[in-house]
Amino acid sequence: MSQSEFPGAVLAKGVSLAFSEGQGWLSVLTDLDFAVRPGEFVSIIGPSGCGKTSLLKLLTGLYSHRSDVRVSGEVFVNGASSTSARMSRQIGLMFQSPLLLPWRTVIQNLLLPNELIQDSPETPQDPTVILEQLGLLQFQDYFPANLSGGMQQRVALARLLMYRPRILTMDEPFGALDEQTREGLNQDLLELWRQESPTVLFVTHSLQEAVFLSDRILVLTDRPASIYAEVQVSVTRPRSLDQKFTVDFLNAQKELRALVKEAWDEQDAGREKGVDR
Amino acid sequence: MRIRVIGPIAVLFLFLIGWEGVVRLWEIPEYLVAPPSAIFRYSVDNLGDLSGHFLITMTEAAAGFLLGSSVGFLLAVGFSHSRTLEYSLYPYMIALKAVPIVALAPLLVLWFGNGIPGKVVMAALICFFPVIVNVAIGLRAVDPGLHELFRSLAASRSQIFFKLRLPSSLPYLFASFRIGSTLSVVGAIVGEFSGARSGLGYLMVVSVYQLETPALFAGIVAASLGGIAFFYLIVWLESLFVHWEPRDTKV
Ligand SMILES: Nc1ncnc2c1ncn2[C@@H]1O[C@H](COP(=O)(O)OP(=O)(O)OP(=O)(O)O)[C@@H](O)[C@H]1O
Ligand SMILES: [Mg+2]
Repeated sequence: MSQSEFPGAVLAKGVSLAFSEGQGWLSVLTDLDFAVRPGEFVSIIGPSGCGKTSLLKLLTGLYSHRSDVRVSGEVFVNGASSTSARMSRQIGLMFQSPLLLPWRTVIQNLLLPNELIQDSPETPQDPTVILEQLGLLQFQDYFPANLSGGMQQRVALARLLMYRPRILTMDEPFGALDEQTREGLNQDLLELWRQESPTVLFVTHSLQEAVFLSDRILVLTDRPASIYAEVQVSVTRPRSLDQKFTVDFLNAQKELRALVKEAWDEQDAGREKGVDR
Repeated sequence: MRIRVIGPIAVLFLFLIGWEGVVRLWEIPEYLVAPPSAIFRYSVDNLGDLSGHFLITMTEAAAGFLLGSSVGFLLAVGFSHSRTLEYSLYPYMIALKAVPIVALAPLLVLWFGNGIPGKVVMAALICFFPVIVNVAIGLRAVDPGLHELFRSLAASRSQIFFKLRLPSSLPYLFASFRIGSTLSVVGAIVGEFSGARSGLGYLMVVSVYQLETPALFAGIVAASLGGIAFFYLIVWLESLFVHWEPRDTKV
C-alpha cells in the first residue's frame, strides 16, 4: 500500500500551477513535492503572494475543470483526486476571511454544510455542541455583522467542524486577529485536533504560531513557490501557552527564523544576480 | 427625535397656510390655483367618488407592478442560467430602457380599449426594466469568496442559486421595487390620461375640461399619497428581508 492510499493523507508529486494572465501564464507553484501523514499537523510558511492560498485551493479541488488555471503533476488527497475528496467532503478549507452569509444568523450559518449534503451518509453534527466548545453559544442568534472579527472566525471554524472533514486546510485563519484572540483560538484548535485528530495543513505568517501548533513546518520560496525546507518541530505535546517561553520552544523558533531568513536572502541574491546579467 | 416628526409637520402647515394666504391675498381665481381649503372641501364632499377613482388607479398600479416585476424577475433568472439568452436579449433590454414608455399609452388604448387592462400593461412595462436590469446585476454580484465556499462544500448548481445567488440579489431586487413602486402609479395615471372612464388620471383630465380645479388638485394629492404609501410599503417589506449591507452598493 503506497502512502497515497492512506485515508487522511495528502501527497503532492511534482505539482506545478499557473494562472492565465493576459497572453501568457503566471507560474505560481513549481515542482512541489511533499507528503502529509494522516493526523499530522503541518504548517506552511512563505512570503506574501508566493502561492500559499493557491496551494490550499488546489488541494481542496477548487481549480479542477478551469480553463484559466493550468495544473500539472499529481495530487492525492485522502487516497483519491482532490475533486473527489471535495465532492465527498473529506477535505475542508477554512478561508482567509470568515465568509459568513450575512443574511443568516450564526446558527443558520453553521447549518449550511448540513443543508448542502446531497447524498452523503455522514451524520450531521449537533451545532450546539460545537457552539459550546468554541464559546459561541450565547451568540447563536446574532447576525455576522454584529460579531467581532475574532467571533466571525470562530463561527467559520465551527462551520468547518460541522461536517468533520478528515483533512482541514486552513488559510491564515487567525491572521487578522489580535494576539490574545489568536492564542485562544490556537488552543481551541489544538484541543479539537487532539480529540478528532484530523490532518491539518495550516498556512500562517507567524513563526511562533507555526511552532506552537505544528508537527512539521514547510518553508516555501517566493513565487513561483517550491519547498525550500522542511522543519520538524520537537516541542513536546500537549502544548500549553506557557511553553512558548521554554528554551526548547524559543530554540525551535530561532532555528525557523534563521531558515526563513536564509530562504528569503538567497532569493534576493538570486534576483540581484539576474539583474547583473 | 421629536424634531424629526414635528419639523416636517410644521413645514407642511406653514406651506398650506402660505398657499391659502397667497391665493386669497392676490385673489387668484379658483380655476387657476385652488386653495387648500377648496381642495379639502371638494375631497370631503366627493369622498366616495374620489376614493373610487383612487382605488382603481392603485389597483392598476399594483397589478402592473406585480406583472412587470414578475416577468422582469423571471427573465433575469433566465439570463443568469443561460448565457445565450442573456447575450441575445440583454442589449435590447438596455436599449428599450431608453425608450419613453409613456409614448406607448395611446397605442395601448387602441389595443386594450378604455378599461383597466391597458393601464395595467402600461404600469407593468414601466416597472419591468428596472427589475430586469437590477436583478440581472444582483444575481451576478455574488462575492467570489462565497462562491468558492459553496464549491468547497460540494454544493450543486441549484443549491448555489437558491442559497447564494438569490439571497445575495435581494438588496438589488428591492432597490428596483422602490423605483417600480412609484413608477407604477405614474404608468397607471398616464394610461388613464390617454383614454379611460375612471381612475385618478380620468378625474384630472375631466376636471381640466370642466375647469373644476379643486378636483384636479385633489387628484394630484391622492396620486401622490398613493405613490408615497406604495413606496413605504416596499421600504417596510425590505426591512423585513434585507438587514445587511450588500457587497456592492452601486445600484
Ligand atoms: N485566480 C487567479 N487568477 C490569476 N492570478 C491569481 C489568481 N489567484 C491568485 N493569483 C496570483 O497568484 C499569486 C499567488 O497568490 P496567493 O493568493 O496564492 O498568494 P499567498 O501566498 O496566499 O499570499 P498572501 O500571503 O498575501 O495571502 C499572486 O501573485 C496572485 O496575484
Ligand atoms: Mg493567501
